Amino acid sequence: MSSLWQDIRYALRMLANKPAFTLVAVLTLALGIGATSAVFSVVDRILFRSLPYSHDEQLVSVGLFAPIEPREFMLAKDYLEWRAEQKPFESMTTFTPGGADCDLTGQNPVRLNCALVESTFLTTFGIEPILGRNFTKEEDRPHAPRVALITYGLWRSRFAGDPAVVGRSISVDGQPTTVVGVLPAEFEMPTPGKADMLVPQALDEASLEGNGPQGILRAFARLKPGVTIAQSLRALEPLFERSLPQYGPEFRDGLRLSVRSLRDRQVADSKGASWVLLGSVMAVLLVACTNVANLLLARTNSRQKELAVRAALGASRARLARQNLTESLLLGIIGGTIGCWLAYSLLQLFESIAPEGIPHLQQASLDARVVLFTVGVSLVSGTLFGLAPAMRHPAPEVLAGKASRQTSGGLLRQILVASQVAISLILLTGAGLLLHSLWRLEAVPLGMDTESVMTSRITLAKYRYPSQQSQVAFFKELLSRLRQMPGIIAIGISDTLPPFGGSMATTYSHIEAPARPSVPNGGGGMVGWRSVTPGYFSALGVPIVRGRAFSEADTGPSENPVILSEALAKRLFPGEDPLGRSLRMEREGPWRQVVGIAADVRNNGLREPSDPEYYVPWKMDPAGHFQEGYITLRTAIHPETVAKRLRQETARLDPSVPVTMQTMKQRVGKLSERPRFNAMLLTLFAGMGVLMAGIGIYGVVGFLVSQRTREIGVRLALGASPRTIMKMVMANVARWTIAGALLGLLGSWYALKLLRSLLFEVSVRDPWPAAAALLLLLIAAFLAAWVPARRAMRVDPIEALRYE
Amino acid sequence: MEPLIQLRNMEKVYEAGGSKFYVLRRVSLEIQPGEFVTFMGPSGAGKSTLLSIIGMLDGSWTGEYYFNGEPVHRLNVKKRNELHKANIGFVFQSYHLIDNLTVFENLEIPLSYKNVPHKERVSLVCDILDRFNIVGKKDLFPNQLSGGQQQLVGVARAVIQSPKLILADEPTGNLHSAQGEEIMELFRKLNEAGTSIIQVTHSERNAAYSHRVIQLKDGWVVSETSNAARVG
Repeated sequence: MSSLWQDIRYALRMLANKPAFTLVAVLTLALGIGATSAVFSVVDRILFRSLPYSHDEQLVSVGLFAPIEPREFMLAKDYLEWRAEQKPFESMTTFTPGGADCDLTGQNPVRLNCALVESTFLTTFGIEPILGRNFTKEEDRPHAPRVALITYGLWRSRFAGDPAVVGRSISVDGQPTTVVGVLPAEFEMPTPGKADMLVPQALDEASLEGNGPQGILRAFARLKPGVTIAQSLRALEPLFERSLPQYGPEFRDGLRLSVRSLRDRQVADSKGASWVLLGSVMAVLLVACTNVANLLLARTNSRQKELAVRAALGASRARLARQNLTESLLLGIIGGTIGCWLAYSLLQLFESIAPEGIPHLQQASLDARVVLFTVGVSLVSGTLFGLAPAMRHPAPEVLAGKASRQTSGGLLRQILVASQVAISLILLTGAGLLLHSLWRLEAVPLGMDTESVMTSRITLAKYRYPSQQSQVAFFKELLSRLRQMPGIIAIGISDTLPPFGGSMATTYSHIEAPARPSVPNGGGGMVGWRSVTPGYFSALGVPIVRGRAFSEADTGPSENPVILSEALAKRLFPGEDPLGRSLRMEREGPWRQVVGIAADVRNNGLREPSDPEYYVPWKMDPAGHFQEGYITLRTAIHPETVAKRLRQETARLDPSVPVTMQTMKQRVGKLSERPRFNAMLLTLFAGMGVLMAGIGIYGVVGFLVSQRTREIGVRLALGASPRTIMKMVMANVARWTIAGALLGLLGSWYALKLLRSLLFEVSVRDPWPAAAALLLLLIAAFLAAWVPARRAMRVDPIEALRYE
Repeated sequence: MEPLIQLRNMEKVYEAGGSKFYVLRRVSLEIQPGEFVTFMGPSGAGKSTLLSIIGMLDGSWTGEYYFNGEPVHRLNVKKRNELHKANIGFVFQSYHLIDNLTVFENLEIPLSYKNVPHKERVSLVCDILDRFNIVGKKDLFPNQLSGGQQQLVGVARAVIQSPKLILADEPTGNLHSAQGEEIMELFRKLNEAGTSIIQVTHSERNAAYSHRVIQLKDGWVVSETSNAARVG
């Protein structure tokens, strides 16, 4: 024990005596370990950590997939039948997607997110309230007395953690509601989105008997022990077949049954990127370790005499290795400690720049598990980079004053640097591909002008605006007030807004036009539509390519104009003039006259082509949806100034109405946030890799030059010019840099296949990013080698021949 | 009496570029306990190599080597290391003190490699500091000492584990004559106290301190001379 302490003491002294070496090694490691821990803390939640539900491996998401709804859904009637007849699950449960805004009224009203869940929700997920109880079946029925389960956060913030809250009546949307329980602190909904309160879904089973419209549900289940997902799929197949006829033929073809693990559902589109990021950051760590190993090898070389003396004084090979490992482990621990702090800062940076929708990012923290990972990484990397120097045994001839030329150390160092070059090249090529893809994505034409446009989403509380009249009246009044604001060029209201967020949709085959051949029922796919006010097109900068935009006269009760997108016009009336033609968009709907053709707008994200769509005037309509509206303002002044005024005007009209605002640029920017985030991180890691490879090359060339000083002196004395010496050194560097680069190109060929799902209109075999990465790396290698190579040029032969 | 060291047909070869280069050729010799022996010879004669082999730092040779009756040629690295730790102390021309350790720690280090308990280590180091009259230097680092003082510490380090044999490779090579004499006097006293010593030297004056001089040339033992009149 005392000898171990002695090793530690000596190691600490060694590190303190070589501050430059220690600083470079510690910082290199801190960077590697810090970045790895930060990324691990994010991807751990996505890839490895169990979900906060007991036996989470048994939880599955169940339902149907349709081309228009890429996440499992179920219609309520199907669900009730399946729930009654299914065999593979211990229990099934549902909640209503999207939840509902609900207001905690009474004193200091506040808007909350309420999740409408079934009474079996908690039991299926294995969640126990920390106070009170779950809903009863009786409470989960229509017209039952209103009850709620509140989250831990709400309990602490709103009710000061008072246990007596259970049984208390609170006012939700103006209705008395009894709190029956408090959820545990670690509770989270199985889908993204936050819930402050759970309220019973209260499915009206009786009303589902007929063929009326049904709500969409998200269904989850707990597999019986021993039942696999594949078995459950087979068991549900007959129920699925039986449900199919109730779907219209336009949907039926694309429908399929799906059962997948809850984890898969949660992380589906983040899994690939998570593995890529984890892989990249581990590669950075490897480069860092290689660098430190290189530094230690160089130092071991300069410590040959000391190690030989220790061996002569009786130190066994194991003891010498232990001394070496103690030093490298200490470096690992110091690097890990600073890395922990760095990880904390990086994590905060990730959280601030990360796009929405990265699962569990908000919960990511440097908890015990991540710290354990960091400690593990520090120790493993400490051992890893200490191993090579520790394995070397000092040569006894050093003690006789003879110089020992251990070429194996030099070779090992060159191999290490070649590996760094290879890894850095893979990272750089990957970053190049993502950046190229991002550039392509951001260059996609949107079909609208996003410059100087502010958008605002306003959702009205149903209990305050229960009728369409009151909802429309609110928006009309707001519109008229906003028109008075200075600096407004155009203003529009719509029920939905591109380029995402969905829109209302009808089936192409339902659109009727006189003299147009009929389309088989269900054929032609879906056609989106929006209801918009006359100012919508100019506010959003969507060009009307033919005809006209809507006017105020079009909002009259008997007016039914329609504006088609170019894509829809071409499809409905190929080679004909659509203006003035009559159309019926729904079977029971009114006939509408085409008054204009609008340019196609990206309405389904940047990666998908523009879908055909049409526009109808925003006005009172029993089929319309007015509880939510998007206000679009084109301004001549700074959008942020307009935002302030908009908020003030809305508050003057009704202070309880929440307003969410974004510039159109921000809104569109969200579409490329995730690719930008991925590209940014990979570029950061690639940059770190190149920097470290540069330091590695600098170190190795410096080492080679110092090792060959005598040889260089002899060559110079024999008449070699400094230029020849420079060429000799650079040729050596070029040899293993090119070897590393070739290895890196080969590695890229295989490793970058992982990026395929993250790329947009760029092939993983795109040669340009690889060529640019290679060029960048060669320049970095050249610059890193230049300084020590110049030193070689300036060697004084007289001094060198005296060199020991 | 059983010899302390017995070498039979010892050979050491380097292979370079497909040809063999002999450093030692059929070396056979005996050294008795308590003997003070000098290896002499021109550069490249194989003196230091022979010293490394006797000191068990170098294990790649052929022939037979008995140390105190133990067949070193049959021992594995671990056992050889144990034997070396228990019996041999080294003194080098360039002192080879460890730069980052104080005088006290330099003296302590061979004891720690022998797993001597801490308390005992401290007591042994204090004894030797006192014996060599260098107590005042115990907290200094090697670069704060003169060459003679460094070699004094080097000898103290070799002696601290009470070895049967001290191997000294040109111990006064880097010292001026007065310092060199002081060190040689120290060796003489250690030898008189029973420690066997083998030194490598070019100096006839230093060789005169030993009982016997063995001359090497091109790896061969070419002569052995007894010193009738030792310096004293």
